[in-house]
Amino acid sequence: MYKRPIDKIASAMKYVYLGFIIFCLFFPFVFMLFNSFKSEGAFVANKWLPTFLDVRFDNYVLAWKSVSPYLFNSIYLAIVCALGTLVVSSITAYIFAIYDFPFKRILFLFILMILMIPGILTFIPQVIIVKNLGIYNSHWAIILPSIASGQIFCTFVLKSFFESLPSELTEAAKIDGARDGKIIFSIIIPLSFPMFVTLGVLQILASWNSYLWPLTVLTRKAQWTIPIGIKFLSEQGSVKTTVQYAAYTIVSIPLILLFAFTMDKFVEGLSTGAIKA
Amino acid sequence: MKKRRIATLALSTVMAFGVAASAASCGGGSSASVVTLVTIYNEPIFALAARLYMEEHPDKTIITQPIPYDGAADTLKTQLIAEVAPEIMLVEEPDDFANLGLLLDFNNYIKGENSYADTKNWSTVFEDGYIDLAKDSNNRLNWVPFSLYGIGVYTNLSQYKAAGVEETPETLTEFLAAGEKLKTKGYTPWGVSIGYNDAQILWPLEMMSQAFFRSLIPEINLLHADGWTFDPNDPTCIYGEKISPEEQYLAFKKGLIDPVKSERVRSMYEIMLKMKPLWNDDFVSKDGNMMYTDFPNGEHTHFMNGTWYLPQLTGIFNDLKKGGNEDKVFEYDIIPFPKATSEDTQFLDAGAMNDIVKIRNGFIVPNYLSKAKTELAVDFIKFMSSPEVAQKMFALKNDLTGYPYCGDISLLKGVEGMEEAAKLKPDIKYADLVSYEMYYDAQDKDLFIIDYEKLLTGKYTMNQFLKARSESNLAALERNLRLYASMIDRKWLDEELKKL
Amino acid sequence: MVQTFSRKKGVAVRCFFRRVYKAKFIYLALVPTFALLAVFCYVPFFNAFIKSLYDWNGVNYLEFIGFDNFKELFNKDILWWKSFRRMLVIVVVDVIKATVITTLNAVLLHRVKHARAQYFFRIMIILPAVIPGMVGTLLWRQFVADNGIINEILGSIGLKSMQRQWLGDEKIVLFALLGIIGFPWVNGANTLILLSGLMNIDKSIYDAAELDGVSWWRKLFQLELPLIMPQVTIIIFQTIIGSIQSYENIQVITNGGPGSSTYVPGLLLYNNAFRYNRYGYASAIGVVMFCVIIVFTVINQYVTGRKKNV
Repeated sequence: MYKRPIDKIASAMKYVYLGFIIFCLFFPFVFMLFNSFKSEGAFVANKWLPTFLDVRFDNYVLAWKSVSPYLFNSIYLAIVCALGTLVVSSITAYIFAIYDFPFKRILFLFILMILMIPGILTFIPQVIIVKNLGIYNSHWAIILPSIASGQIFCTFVLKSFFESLPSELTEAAKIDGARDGKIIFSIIIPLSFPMFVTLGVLQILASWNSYLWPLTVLTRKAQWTIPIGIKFLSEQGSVKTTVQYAAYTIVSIPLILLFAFTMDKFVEGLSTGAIKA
Repeated sequence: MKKRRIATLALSTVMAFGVAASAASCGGGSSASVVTLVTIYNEPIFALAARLYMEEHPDKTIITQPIPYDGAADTLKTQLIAEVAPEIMLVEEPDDFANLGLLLDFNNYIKGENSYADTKNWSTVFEDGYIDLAKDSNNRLNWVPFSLYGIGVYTNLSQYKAAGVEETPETLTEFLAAGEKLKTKGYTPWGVSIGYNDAQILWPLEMMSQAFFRSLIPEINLLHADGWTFDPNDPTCIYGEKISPEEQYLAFKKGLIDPVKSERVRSMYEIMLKMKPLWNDDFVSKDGNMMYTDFPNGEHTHFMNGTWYLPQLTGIFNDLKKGGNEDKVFEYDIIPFPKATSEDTQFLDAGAMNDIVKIRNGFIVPNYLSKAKTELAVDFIKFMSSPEVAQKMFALKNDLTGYPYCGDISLLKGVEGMEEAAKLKPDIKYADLVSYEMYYDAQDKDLFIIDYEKLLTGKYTMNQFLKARSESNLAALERNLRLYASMIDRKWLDEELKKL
Repeated sequence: MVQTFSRKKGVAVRCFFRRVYKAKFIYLALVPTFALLAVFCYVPFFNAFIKSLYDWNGVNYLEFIGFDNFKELFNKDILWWKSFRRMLVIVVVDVIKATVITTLNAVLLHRVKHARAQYFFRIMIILPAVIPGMVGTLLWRQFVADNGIINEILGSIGLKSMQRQWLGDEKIVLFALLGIIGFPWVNGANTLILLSGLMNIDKSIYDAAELDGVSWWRKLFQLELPLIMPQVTIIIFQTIIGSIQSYENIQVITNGGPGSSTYVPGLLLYNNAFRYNRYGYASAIGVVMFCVIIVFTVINQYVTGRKKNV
């Protein structure tokens, strides 16, 4: 169509607006990044602009020493929780999507209802249960409750996704004599791979940022996750702000890598349009 | 057939989880010779003590663990309730934990032997009177105190010079006058913030409360040892005396510590309001944590804080010198808080205000542990109370700053802390017994902060404030009566109440 | 007659049980899910539910007091009703933030025709999620401090009169908070969800609209919005649940102050449970919040005109 002048202006405004949003989003990050390379004196003198003169890489060395065990813990826990959640919720979602059985609606409602329970209400009883199960102070104390609560949203989404898959696929496979297990593995999973990636990434984000629960159930410093490590670091009076910023940057790197590698599938998973009510 | 496949898959998942969960069972700490110590700060000094202990006792293991300071009490409390708490914890406020009834009462141990300190009576290792101070109002010893702090006012002397203040203020009037001079020069005399992470506007209240109510102590402390008399000028006469919950309640009902009926309470808050012009404008929203870096930056002239700040401050100044910013380093002094005098109030008839010297932190131990673990925990605490070990702990330097980790004063006789800390260990000249408190439990404290803010910002008049405080105090005192029902003398209280 | 009825009923009952029996493997396969849910979610919740009828300090002091906790909450607690009203305001604003702003961004993104530019923007929008949430919040808190950068900028561009104590003035602190948390209110994941909904709209509909010469706002309101309603609904659903419970951001920035002007029910629950040792009372607050969440969810379903997708 014609490009009227107002269209050009509108188009330019779009870019300006989006650019502004991106700037605001990135501002804290860029602020952190620039300041992490300064020496403390330079930081106090000039907070806002980057410095190219007195670049300090030893901030990063110090920060790495402080933060690396937490980094590995967080990565390990995030991956295990995400995988576990996906496995459990895909089984459940498949069952709810394909089969019909008595009490189906009620059971599903039961699952959804848990989303509405305020988290802090159940905090202390959960600690007691974790202790009674004997998993206190091990990584299982984080993994199992995380799967328990993460699977709700995943089941919900996967169920509507599985329902939206054309039934001809499964029917054709059944006519050919395939059993359920084969159907799942060879048809459903490949088709829903982008979806899995999307949900997996969302679960990883959720478990990455959790602070209060790991603080209570993990007592050994070597088992700490990143949020606890960062909080602890920020309280040390002897650690300078620039080193702290370097630490924040370091802990952001795994997530950046995660997004870089999974961006395609992530967006594709969202684009199937299956995340809807 | 197909359903069975799914079912087997599902069951095997469950079993895999179950097996793995039970295999990776509760890590560490389950054997009788392992004890964990969790501390809210200065973990390296306890790690040092643990190392020394394990050299003497190779068959035992002590693990030391830090925990982030913010919210540590909440987390430790949760762990205590679920009975998964560490065996020794270093905390600042034991009353919170004690109310749950889960702490070991050290009264059983404190008069016993301590072989590490070569004494038959452990309590003699500590400076006089502090073990008594450490007991709660029901005379239980819930914690073994570790270090003391003193409070003083860090003063920026170069700003004093610039504003023409020649003498350091000793009384409130002089303080206000100095403040005026500083303000005309454009400085902020006193940087404060209200809220949990800054206690600067609470400490003066504590000092005033103890001084103003001193003359009432004989009337309030009705349940006392036989033959006890009160001499305001003798700090030792209150050793072993406590104001218990029922005495407090009675005093409130008599109107002695009721904010609405007591002129002393009113006068305390009026004096605080007098100091308001000295404060920064944003005292309501300022983040208390920023104060520690604002003072070296010259943002305010006075900063009321304690001994623990010394290592940090000297560290910051050292950094500035090393970084070539010598000009930013200024001369400072630590002065005692300027006291109220009889010009300000009539209630200083029983002696002036004492400086604040209080127990900073102490060790608590849960009371549900096995006998072996309890023994080991108490033994390690005794080890840390021996003067040689404590001296090493207090002298341990932080590699990053070159200054000791711990800036507080040790509670043990003969143990030296940082030399500058000595300035903050003034003499206690008068006898103090805590009678009127601004708040009597955690809920009261939260409401107090809210009401106090409203008073300071002018939203409450003094009368409204006192009324709100009175109601909240009464509710808290009644909650305390219920909570300690098994420990108080209810019959006595009822008889006394009838007489009113 | 009677015989037929009872026979039909008997047949129906027997049919039902047989269906249950036939489905037994299904129930078995659901065991992992429900076992985990039962242990970590249901048991604590019912525990808390029951304890809300007691005066409990978590350890040793347990006394049955029936509905007294609720009575105290509604009648005597001076913080409850104020924080409840505040929570309503927060929920409404949060939903607006999540829908209006996110939709705006998604629609604008969708309109960017240049494929590579759009790809770039998409990545940029989701990338900030990598920063630990607290870092951004704390940084913004420093920005709105009295001598922080916001006031400095206002001063330097001549709007000195608009300088305020953003976090100190009771009247505006709530809105300052709503502004800071999650600034600039772009939730990357939600934006991408809406964008995917938009991308799913059939091209033929757009072509038909172009042919008819529809103006841009009609295209937006009557064409696109109704078609992405499912996505919007789920975003609202999640926002409501999260917003009613949230307290951590507020706790870190103002801790309910100044005064009690940013106190929310979540904070009340936390304080009563962890600081005052009143677990029975805290459980009562939690039960009330649970009911509120259910009510809001049901209202949400009616308003967006969809029955719960079971």
